[in-house]
Amino acid sequence: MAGPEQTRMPGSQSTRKPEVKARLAADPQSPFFARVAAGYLQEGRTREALALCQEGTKIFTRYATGSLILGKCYEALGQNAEALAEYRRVLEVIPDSVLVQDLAGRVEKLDQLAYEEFTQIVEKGLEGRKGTMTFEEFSTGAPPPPTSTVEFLIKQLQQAPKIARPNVMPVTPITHEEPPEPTPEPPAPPVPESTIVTETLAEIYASQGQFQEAIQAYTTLSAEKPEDAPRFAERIAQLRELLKLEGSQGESA
Amino acid sequence: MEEFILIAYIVSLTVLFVFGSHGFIMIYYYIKYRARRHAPVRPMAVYPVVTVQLPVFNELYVVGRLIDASCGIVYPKDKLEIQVLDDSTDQTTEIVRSSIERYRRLGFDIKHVRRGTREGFKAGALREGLRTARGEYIAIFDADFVPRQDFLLKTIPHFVQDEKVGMVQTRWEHLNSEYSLLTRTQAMALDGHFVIEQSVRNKVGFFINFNGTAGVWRKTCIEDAGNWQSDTLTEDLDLSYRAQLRGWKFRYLNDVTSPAELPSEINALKSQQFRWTKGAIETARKILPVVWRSHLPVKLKIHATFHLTNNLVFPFIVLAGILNVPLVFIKHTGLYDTYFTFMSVFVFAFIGSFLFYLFSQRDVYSDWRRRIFLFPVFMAGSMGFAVNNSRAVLEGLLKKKSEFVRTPKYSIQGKQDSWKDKKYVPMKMSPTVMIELILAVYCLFGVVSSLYFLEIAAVPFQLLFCLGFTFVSVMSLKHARVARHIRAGH
Repeated sequence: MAGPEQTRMPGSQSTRKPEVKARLAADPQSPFFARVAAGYLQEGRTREALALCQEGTKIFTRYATGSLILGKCYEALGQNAEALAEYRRVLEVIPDSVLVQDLAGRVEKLDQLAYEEFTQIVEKGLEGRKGTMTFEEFSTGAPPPPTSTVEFLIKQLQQAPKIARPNVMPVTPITHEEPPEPTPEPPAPPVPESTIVTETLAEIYASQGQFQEAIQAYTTLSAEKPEDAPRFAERIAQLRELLKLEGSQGESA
Repeated sequence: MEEFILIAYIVSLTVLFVFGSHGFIMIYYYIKYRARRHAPVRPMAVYPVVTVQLPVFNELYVVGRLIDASCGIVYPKDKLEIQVLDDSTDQTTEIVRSSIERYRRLGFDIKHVRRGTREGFKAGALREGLRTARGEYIAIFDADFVPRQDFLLKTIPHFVQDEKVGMVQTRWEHLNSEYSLLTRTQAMALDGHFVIEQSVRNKVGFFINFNGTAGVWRKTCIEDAGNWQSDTLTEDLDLSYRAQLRGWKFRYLNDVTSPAELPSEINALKSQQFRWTKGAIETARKILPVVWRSHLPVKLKIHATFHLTNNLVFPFIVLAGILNVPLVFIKHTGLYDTYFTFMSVFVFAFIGSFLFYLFSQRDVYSDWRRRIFLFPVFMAGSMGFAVNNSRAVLEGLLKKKSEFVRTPKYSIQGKQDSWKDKKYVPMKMSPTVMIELILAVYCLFGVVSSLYFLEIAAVPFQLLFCLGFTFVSVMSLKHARVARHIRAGH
C-alpha cells in the first residue's frame, strides 16, 4: 500500500528511522542503507553501521553520502587510512564540499602521523649506524676507524668535485630550453661556446651596474661585428662615464 | 615411495602457500593505503646540478634514441651534465661519438666516458662515471629507455624538499607491450611489481628498491652507502638496501613514468630473468644477515625477507609441476584421500596471484578488463620460466659466480619492426631448454592421465604447466634457430 509518506523526499525521512529501516528491509539494495547506518553510528553501533555501509557502497559506488558515512565509521574505529580513502572518494563526486575537505584533511594528518611514527621506529632501529662508517664496518658492527679533523678535511678536499672555472663571463642562463631536433644536422662551424657574447648580455650587465663587464662585452662585440663598431664605441663611452661617476660616488661615500 | 611423493608435494605447496599469502598481504595494504600520497612538491626555485648517466654496452639500435631523449630533458643547460658510460666494443662507440659532437655544438655538457675494460660491468661503469660527475644528483637510464622531457622537473623537487631522500624511482612504462604475447605478459608482470609492490612498500614505510634505471640518486647517498658494488648481479637492489639501512629515505612515484622497450626475444628475456633472479638471491645472502641483526621493527624485517627471497618459489613450482603427475595415480588408489584437501592451497596461491595482477592492471589501464584475460597466459609463462629461474636460484645459493649478461635491445616499437634482422640476437640457447622440452611432454602425459582418471579438477593446472613448458621451450628453439641464420647471414 503506497502511502503518501513513501513518496516524500529523502531529506525528511531522517527523523523516521523505523520507517527507513523497514524500507531498507523491503528493498536491501536501496540507498537507504546510508541513513540507517548514520542512525547506528549515532547510537554507537559502529560495527553494524560499518557492515551496512560496506555492503551498500559496493552497489552504489558513486553515492557520496554512503561513502561519507562509511568514512565516518572507519574514523570512529580509528582506521584513518581507510577513512581517508572514503573521504577522497566523496570528494571525487562533490569536490567543492568544504565539510568533506575538512574531514579528509583531518584524517590525512592523523594518517601522516601514523606513517611518521613508523618511520621513526625504523630510524630508531638504525640509530648508531649512521656517521662515518663504511658499509662493511657497519654490517660487521665494528667501530669506525679514528680520523683526525685534518685527515677528514684533506679527504673532503680530495673528494670535492673539481669544477673548471669559466675564463670568460657566463652566457645568460636560459632555463627550460626547447628540446633539440633529434634529426641529424649538418655540422655547424666550430664556435667556442664560452666566448658567445650578445648585445642583450652587455645590456644586462649595464642594467645590473656591472659596467666593467659590460664594457668588456661591447669590446668583444666590436671585434666580432666591425660594422656595428661605431655604435658600440658610443655605448662604451657612455658606460665609461657611468663607471667614473660610480667611482667618484664610492670615494665620497 | 607414495608417501615420499606426498610429503614433497605438501612441502612445495606450503612454500607456494606462504608466498601466495604474501600476495594477499600486499593487496590488503594496497587497499588500506590507497589514499595515502606523498606530500605535494613545490616547483624548484634554484636548479641543482644533475648528472644523467647512460650506461651502454653494444647498443647499436637504441643508443641514438637514448642520447636524443636525454638531451631533450627540460632542465637549465648549464645545470645538466650527461655522461655516456660506453663500454661498447662495436660501432656503437662511433654512433655515440658523433651524437655527442652534435650536442656539444648545441651547448650541451655531454661526455663520452670510456673505460677500456668491462670490469664490474654496469656497477663498474656507474662507479667510474660517479668519480667525475659534477651533479649533486645522478639520474640513470639504461639503453632501452626513452626518458620523458619532464623527468627531472618531476623528480628533483622531492630531494630539494626533504634532505633525507636518497633515491626517487619512477614507474616503467612499455613502448612495445603490444608487440607480441611475450611482451604483453612481461608488461603485466612488471606492472604488478611497480603498481602494487613498489607503491605499497613505499606507502607503508618498508624498504623498496631502485630498479636499475629510470630513477635518480643523491650523490652523497650513493657514497654514504658504500658506492656501487659488483659482487652481486643486481647492483641496484644491493645498493638500495645498503642505503636504506643507513637511514636514507626512498620515494617511488607511481604517477611519473619512464617509457622503455621490453625484450622481444625469448632467450634474451631468459638471460634477463636469470640475472634478476640470481642477483636477488645473492643480495639476500649479502644483506639479510645485516637486516636481521639490526634493531628494525620485526614487520619490516619479515617484509624485507620476502622481498629478497621471493624467487625461492621457482624451484618449488617446478617440483609441484613434476609431482602433479604421479599424484593423479596416487589419488586414484584412494588410500590418501585426506591429503588431497591440501590441493586447494594451489588454488589459493593462484587466486592471490590473480588478484595481485588484477588490481595492478585496474590501477593503470582503463582497458584492464581486456588485459586481465592474459592472466592464464602469464601464469603458464611463469611456470614455463620456472626451470630457467630455478637454475638461477640454485646458482645463487651455491655462490656460483657468473657474468653480467646484458639484455640486448632492438628498438622495436611497432608490429612492423623485427629483431630478426638485427645483430646481438643471442646465439646460445639457454641450457635449460632440453629440460623444458622434456617437462612439456611429461606434463602432456599428466593431462592425458588426468582426463583418463576423470580428475577434472587437476586438469587446468596440468594444462597450464604443459602449455607453459611447451611455449617456452619451442620458442627458445625457434628464436635460437633464427639467431643462427642471422649470424650466418651477417
